[in-house]
Amino acid sequence: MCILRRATCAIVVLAGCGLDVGPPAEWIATDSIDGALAVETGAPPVRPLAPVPSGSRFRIVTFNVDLGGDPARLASEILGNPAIMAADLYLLQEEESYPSEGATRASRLAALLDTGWIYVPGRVKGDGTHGLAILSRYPIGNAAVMELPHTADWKPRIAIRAEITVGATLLHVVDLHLETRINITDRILEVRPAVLDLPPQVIVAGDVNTNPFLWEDGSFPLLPTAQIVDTDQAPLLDDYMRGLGFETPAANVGPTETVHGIESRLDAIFTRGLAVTEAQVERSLDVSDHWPVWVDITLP
Amino acid sequence: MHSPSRWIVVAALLLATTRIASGEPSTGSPTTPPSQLRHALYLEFLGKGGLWGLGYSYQLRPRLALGVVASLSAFDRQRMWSASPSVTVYPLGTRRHRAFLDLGPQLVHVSTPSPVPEWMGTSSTGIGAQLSTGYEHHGRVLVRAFVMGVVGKGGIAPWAGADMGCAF
Repeated sequence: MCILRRATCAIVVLAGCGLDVGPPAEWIATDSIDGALAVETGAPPVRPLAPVPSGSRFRIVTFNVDLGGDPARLASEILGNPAIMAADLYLLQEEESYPSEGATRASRLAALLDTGWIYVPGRVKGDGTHGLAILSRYPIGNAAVMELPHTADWKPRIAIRAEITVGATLLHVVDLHLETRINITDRILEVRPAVLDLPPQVIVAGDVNTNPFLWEDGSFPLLPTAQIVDTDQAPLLDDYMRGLGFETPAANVGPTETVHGIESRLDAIFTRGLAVTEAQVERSLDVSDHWPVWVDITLP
Repeated sequence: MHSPSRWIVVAALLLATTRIASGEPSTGSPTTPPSQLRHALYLEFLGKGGLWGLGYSYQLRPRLALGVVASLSAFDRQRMWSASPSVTVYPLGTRRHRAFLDLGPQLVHVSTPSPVPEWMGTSSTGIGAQLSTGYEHHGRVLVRAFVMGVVGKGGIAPWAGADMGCAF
């Protein structure tokens, strides 16, 4: 092997660093967490719930609410969109909580939407916390959180798992938010522990940040490469999830974010063992850099 | 471990070009580079390879050159190969300092091996085109700085690059 090929190989090997397939992360019951990352919950309003027979429609929304800083405006936008307002379950990302605000943003939003809620902090941010939330018209139970694999350069990311009791049906759901400027191989390694050993019937949704680019060391995207060859991460993550038996009902909904003219499908909903009837993006909401995505399932 | 190995290569090339430049010849007409320096080998930063590339050009005529830039890059476990042949014209300039226009196709292949046993991985190949323009210093040492536009089935994107190498 000539010197040039040897040197090229060395450079390629040295540059091929990324996340390792380390030991599997663990789900931790949220009621066992205390301190700054303690979980907060609120039950749905006490009221007679209409019977929910098998075969009923159940709508799930995933929405990155861009820190949720104005719950009143966020609620107004949601209530102003019939499709999103009609949702039974909201899986939210980029929720935050600050003691100076008096009450958790998720709790204030839930009060306005008349739902129960759970807020799971993923990391400390300033004098508050940043994390995920689930808002539900039905009881939320058995919640757990998993810290996803990450390198020292990435922010800590989490997934939360919960059971939603809908009449006689127990729906398993996972809400997650993945890192932004990483390539698809690291993205698969990041999401893998949260989706690998889930129940046969489950919904996984969230901001998976599947952008259209190859990234150089998490610093900048290769813009020209994306024009010549398909580097879109969204179809590849869909392909990975299909390999685990998931359906990808949101695969063709189109972009869920547009920034500087660049359209990206950053948000996704995956279902397994459930009948899906429809999926859409609602682009009329103007309260976040993301648009919400919803999917209708038929209750088993 | 990305930056150190790349900077070692850059430093080695800088040292090599500096040593070559110390014996720079003074032949050639006022409007063309020294006639015996038809060949050039150079390292490209950003540019046609996206991140970097190794380039070669041949001065066919005083205002016309042919060249190619090839690159192999690693992004975590993904690998990208590219090849960009091109034609360069020099509409303006003097013996060593010239403006140039460069045009040609780009072939790119991205390989995505699976990091996990439950997925097979994938690969993708595409072809596009680039047009770039900039400044060139062409003596024993070749230096270029340029802006470029890349077009393909995904759309159009701006980019930039710089070359450093030696002519012989």
